[in-house]
Amino acid sequence: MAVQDTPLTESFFYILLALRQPRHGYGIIQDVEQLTEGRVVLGAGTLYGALKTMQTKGWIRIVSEQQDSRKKKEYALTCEGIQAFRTECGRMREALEAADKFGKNMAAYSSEIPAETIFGNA
Amino acid sequence: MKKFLFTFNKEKAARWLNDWSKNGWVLTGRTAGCIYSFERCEPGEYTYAIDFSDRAFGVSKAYREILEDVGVDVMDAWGPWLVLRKNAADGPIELYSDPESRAEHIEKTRMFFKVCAAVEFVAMCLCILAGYELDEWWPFVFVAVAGAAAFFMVRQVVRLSEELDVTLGRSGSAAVSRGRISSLLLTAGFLCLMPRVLAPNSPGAPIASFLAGAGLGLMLVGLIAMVRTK
Repeated sequence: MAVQDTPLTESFFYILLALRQPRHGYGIIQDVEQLTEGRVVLGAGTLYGALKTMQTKGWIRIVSEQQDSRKKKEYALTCEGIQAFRTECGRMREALEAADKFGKNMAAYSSEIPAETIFGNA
Repeated sequence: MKKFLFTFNKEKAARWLNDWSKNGWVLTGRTAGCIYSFERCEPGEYTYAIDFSDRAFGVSKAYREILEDVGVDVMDAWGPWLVLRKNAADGPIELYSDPESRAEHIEKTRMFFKVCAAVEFVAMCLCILAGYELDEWWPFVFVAVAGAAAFFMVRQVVRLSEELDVTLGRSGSAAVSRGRISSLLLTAGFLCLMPRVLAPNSPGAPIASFLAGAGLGLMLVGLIAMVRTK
């Protein structure tokens, strides 16, 4: 099982979520736009790069491609892809739980902290 | 109408094409990557963008498909440099919607220029060898051309490093200063070559040879510094 070191970008996360059912490129863009209520609109270059990376990592594969037909390439998740998505959800859940638990009362400091305080002078 | 434009800066090229479009000239084609053909049309009908493909020649089927779905047409491909076109009514061409993918794209483009600069340097060294072996002057013309080409490639590496900094919201990264030092070393090294190259039979030949050797050394260091910019 692949171990994921770094967090996914928002684009990657939503592309994986969009692939809860097999879709072609434009279908992914439309679904992500809907999921984020218009906030995230994937660029063609961003989507293509992400799909290429995900294929290399084994998170997605191409289904229903016919060599010379007019049918579009469709992409679908693999087990590794689902695992990557779940790992990311776990990471975000952990972050939100920490925020809920400890982030209730956060002290804000303005920039006018006296120099003595910062540098520990008596 | 045919117009000439040779630039490695894709934003500059796209602005140029969009200006022509606003003035009522539509692009009908491009040859050799720098000669653009225009025809009269409705002003502002199309909007253009330049993109760098992930393939050495042309564009992959998958990318073309995604582009077509968002209304973008690949008009021309010169090596990896693509001219993209979209109906202006459908909105601007937004290829990279987040900083991470934009940064990745800049890095890929920058790698292309690093490789080109290294190749030009090797070509330059081969031309120098050829000049000596054949005992002719004309290979040294190619030395100048290859050296100049390497210089322009490194300029692009520096420019893209700066763009990368802006995209990732960081300032004054080592990449940019290393790139500038690399440019300086390449230029200085190249100038050191010139006495030997231009006046091969002059009386100061031994000194000039030494200078040329030092020059090549400087250029090599500059090249290594450039390749190692992140």
